[in-house]
Amino acid sequence: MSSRLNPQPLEWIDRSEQITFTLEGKSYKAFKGDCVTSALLASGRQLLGRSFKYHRPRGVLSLANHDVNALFQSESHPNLRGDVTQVTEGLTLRPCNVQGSLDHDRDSWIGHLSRFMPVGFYYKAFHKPRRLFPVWEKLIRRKAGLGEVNTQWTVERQPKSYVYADLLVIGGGASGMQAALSAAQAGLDVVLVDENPHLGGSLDYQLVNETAAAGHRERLKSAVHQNPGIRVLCSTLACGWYTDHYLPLLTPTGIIKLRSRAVIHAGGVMEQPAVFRHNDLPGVMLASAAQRLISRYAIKPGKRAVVLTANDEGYRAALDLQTAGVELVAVIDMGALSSRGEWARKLVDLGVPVWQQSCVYEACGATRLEQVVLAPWHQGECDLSRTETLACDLLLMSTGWSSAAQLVYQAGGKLSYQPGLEQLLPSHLPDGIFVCGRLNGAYTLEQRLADARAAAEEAVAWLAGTPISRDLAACRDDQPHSHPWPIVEHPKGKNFIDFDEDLQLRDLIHAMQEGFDNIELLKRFSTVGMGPSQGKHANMNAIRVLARYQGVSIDAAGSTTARPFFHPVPVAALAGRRFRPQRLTALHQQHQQSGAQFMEAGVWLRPEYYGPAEQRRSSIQAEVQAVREALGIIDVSTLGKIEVMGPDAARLLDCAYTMKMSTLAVGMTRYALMVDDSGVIVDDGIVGRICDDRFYVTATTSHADATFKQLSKLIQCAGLNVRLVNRTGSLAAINLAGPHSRRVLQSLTDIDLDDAVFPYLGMREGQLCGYPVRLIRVGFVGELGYEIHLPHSAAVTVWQALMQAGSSVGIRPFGVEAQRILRLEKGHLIVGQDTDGLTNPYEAGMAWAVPLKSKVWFTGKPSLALLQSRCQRRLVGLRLAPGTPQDQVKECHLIMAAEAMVGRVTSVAFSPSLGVVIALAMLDLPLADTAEQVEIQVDDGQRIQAQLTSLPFYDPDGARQRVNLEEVA
Amino acid sequence: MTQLNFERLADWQGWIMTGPDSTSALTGAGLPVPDGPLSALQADAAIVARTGRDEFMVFMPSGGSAPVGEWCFQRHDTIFRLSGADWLAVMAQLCQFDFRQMRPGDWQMLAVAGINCWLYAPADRPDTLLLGCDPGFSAYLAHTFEAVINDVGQTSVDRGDV
Amino acid sequence: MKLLDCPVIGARPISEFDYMGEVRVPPFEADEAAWSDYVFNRNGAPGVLREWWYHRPSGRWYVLMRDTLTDRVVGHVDLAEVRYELPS
Repeated sequence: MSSRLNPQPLEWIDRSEQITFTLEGKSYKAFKGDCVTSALLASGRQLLGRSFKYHRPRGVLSLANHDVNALFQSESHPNLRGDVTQVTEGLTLRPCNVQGSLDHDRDSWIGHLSRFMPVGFYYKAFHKPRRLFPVWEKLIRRKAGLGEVNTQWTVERQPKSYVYADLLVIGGGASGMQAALSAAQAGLDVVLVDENPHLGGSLDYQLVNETAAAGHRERLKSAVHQNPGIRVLCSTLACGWYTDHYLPLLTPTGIIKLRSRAVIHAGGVMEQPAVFRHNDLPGVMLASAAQRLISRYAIKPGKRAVVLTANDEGYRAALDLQTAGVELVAVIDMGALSSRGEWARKLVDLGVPVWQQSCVYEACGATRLEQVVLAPWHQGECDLSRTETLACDLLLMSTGWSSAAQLVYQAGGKLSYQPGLEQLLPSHLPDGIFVCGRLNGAYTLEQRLADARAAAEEAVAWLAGTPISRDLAACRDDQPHSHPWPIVEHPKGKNFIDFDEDLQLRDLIHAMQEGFDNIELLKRFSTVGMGPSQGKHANMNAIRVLARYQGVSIDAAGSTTARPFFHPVPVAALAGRRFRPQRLTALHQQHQQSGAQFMEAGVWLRPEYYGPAEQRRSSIQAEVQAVREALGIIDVSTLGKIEVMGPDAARLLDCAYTMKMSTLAVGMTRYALMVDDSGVIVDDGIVGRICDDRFYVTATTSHADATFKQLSKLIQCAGLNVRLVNRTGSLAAINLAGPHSRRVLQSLTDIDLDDAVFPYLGMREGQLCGYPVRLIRVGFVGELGYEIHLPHSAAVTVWQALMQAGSSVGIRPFGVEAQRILRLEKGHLIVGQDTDGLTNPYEAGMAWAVPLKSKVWFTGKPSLALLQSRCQRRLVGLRLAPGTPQDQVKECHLIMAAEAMVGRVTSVAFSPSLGVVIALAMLDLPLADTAEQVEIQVDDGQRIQAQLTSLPFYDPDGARQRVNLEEVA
Repeated sequence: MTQLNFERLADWQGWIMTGPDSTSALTGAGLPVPDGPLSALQADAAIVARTGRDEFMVFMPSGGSAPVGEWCFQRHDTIFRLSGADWLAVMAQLCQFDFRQMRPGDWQMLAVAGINCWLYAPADRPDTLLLGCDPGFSAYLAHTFEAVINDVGQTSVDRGDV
Repeated sequence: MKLLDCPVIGARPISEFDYMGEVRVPPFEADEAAWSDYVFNRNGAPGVLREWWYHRPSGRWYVLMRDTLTDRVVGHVDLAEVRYELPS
């Protein structure tokens, strides 16, 4: 039984291409361009889905992307909307939320229990006894729900792109096309979007049989397509509005992030259902849904039709049914025929009976519409003494419209109720937002086109910086197109307000009786408007119910803002392409060849250690040992490196760092500690003096950019004559450390490394392997060592030369992990690991780095002057008993005194040099001064004894980093 | 089908110079001195950009005459050249900047694919963009560009013409 | 995402900038209360503030006047106007 009509003039289907798909294992035929709903209707299937809560049979409602009771599950996607999802060859579907089959849903009995499930019962039932809640939860989740996510998904990311325009026009109907054209003709660069696959809007379904509209349709479409100033995006939904006119456009291939200078919203209206008993039966649908079925898909929506109307559009729809060969049983007009126009007269001329001042009291049928009961209707009351019953299989509802103004709300616009049109219409618009068309109450084609031109003119003027004020109501119709109260009470209920959530009129009334008498409370308690269609067909009626039962105006009842996105957006579209910058040093490939295991250090990748993963521990120990006994080499290119130059360079560094840099001798370096205004440690590094007015500064890997920023800000604030150059990325840096470092390095450089001329903390410039380098004699890891700062392009050559030269003494590259152990043995802290967002230098045991008396000023000085005598905790060294398992104590484990937390471990490692586990810990005072041992609480709750010990653990006199191997030995 | 070309200009060199003597370092090397902040001038293949009050960056193919100055440092930016009629579609996926504003000869400093870059539109080559970044990001940026270029042309938009 | 309408380099995504707070001069000679107020308290009252913005890709500083009520940039301040003398 096919209900496919002869070809329609503007149909979206391509009859030359047939498609086969399956639903519940049954095969269906369709044409290319069919949506799932139209294809099923073509085959005679009217029951398309089951409702969320009561598993009631549901069919077509809007055919406008709000039909969330006809949801389908494909192999890859849940919750496909039948009214907009195009069928493809081989598509395999099953219904959502059905036990058994669509026709025989084993859960359909739930509807009979509806009176035991009043509104809000989820909040009240099932909570006692508490132990049974999981049982109920499982049951409810199985009985009520939507599609299932395929957890065996394949990664799908749709690229996002940025697009810019002068003007975005939302909606490709008559108003949108005219607005886009007028704006483009004025020279604007316009993007025009429409969620449908074709432009045309209501011209192509509601006015398809209007000869007067045909000329406008052709003129607008061809002019829009030919205008080079208009970029048309169909199948594209502007799904949210963000500050500065930033709108995500959801396209079939991903999200476009549009930045527009202004927006004209011509998104039209959403038809609203009438509320009466069984208004959800398959066969009951919005009038515009039937018109879409006929004109887009050539589907005859029924055989015998009744049209319920409260406006002219209902008569237009009735005429369209008649043209499509549907028998018209009657038109039921909730108002008077005398206030209707030309379409009504045509219909009367055809001899179709019109019941004036009447309403549908109920629709009847088991799983589809069989008859309607109508009754006289006066001032919101049915006269049940004079009901009539009409047999039919199709009932159209044409009782009102609501502006698709979600984005206007999001942008901060306001809508207020216009009694003349019985509709909420824009009353205040924020800067750069303009509206036109039916969304703005312009209903006739002439009104719409005039309104669109006016809106375009307004947008053009605003963008030109010469805003004009326009009367938003100038082009609005003077006739209502919506009924103020299209809601019919029924003692047995099932008169649905919200089809998503199965909310009946009485559910809202009960919610108000329970005190949820404000739109925001009503919404949350009853869940009206909170289903997948996000209130598109429910909110207006809910507001009418609230206003009437509370005895307030529609404006006073208020409305809710549909948050972005006001329509579901696939996660794949949101995910987009992954931008995860990864920064590699010049020596990255070198490390790979040496078998490095990498770790992330901010955006950098750094070698954690060298060797197979299963030999992690022994590799790290061997690396530590190589540095202590022979020679180690580490890539420290990630350090921040800044050139500081100019007459005020010393002054800048004096202000930026705690220690005095102006007294630094040329060719020497000094430890540099940076604190913020509150005295908290933020960075450390070294400052070296190249000449009187030039310094070289290093910063920690993670703070390099922030330190550069801080220095440059100080220059601006104080108007200092200093120049900075950030050379972090342009220079590589290598630390060569170990007793043999001097001998090996000397063989490759012209710089004299003799201790007498190049002392500890010295800095020299010269050549190494033919490259210009800067050498700094450092002691971070506690051995004789040199930091080599060299051009990025020289790094590989120099590294290889050093490896070659050091091979005879057993040189070994070492990674971040070995470096952490080496510095821990020396008691050197790592900013950000051993310090936190509150640690000051006194707590870190670095009072020596805070010359309060000798410096007039540095950033944070007043705070440190106050904190000096108020120290509450201090970093201490801990040593665990020999034989304690290596991984038992971890960083961040707490130090306990009885039941009180008195500190935490900040760094811990097994020290190969000492043969025991050592740690740094932040410990409360006075314990840090007085205790000899403390208890560390480890993962399993056990407490481990640790001995307080003086720092550093290794080579306390620092002899090894200052002198020759020969001298140490 | 898109005509897009993305290549690394491996033989280019770069410098940054700052301080009151920077302009004489430029003129000494026969290079022009751009006037406004964040503007650039091109002389033969060399690009000179003014990035601060008296701070300049210079990039040129190797072999050119290098600027010399006390406060002049070699940079090691990785420089890529993106060319082809669809270059805008590629940048649209990577960079939140309205490239309709970019004119030949313009210099921009902005974030591309999440990292700081400089961009220069050569005055003498239409549909071409030079792009420089920290050498540490060259692998990431090359990989990202290749992926996007691969996609551009495969994605299309529904213009509703049919 | 918001745009920052910088009067010098034009409208740029705000993600390219670091916000570095209101322009303030440290009270170099302050007592403890005044210093603590400087360190820990910020003026949250709506109005036009002069604020530091750092454009990361170019490494340049801007002082912009922003109306914190409307969140609009209403002007640009020459850096010379916000300078102060460091104690020496």
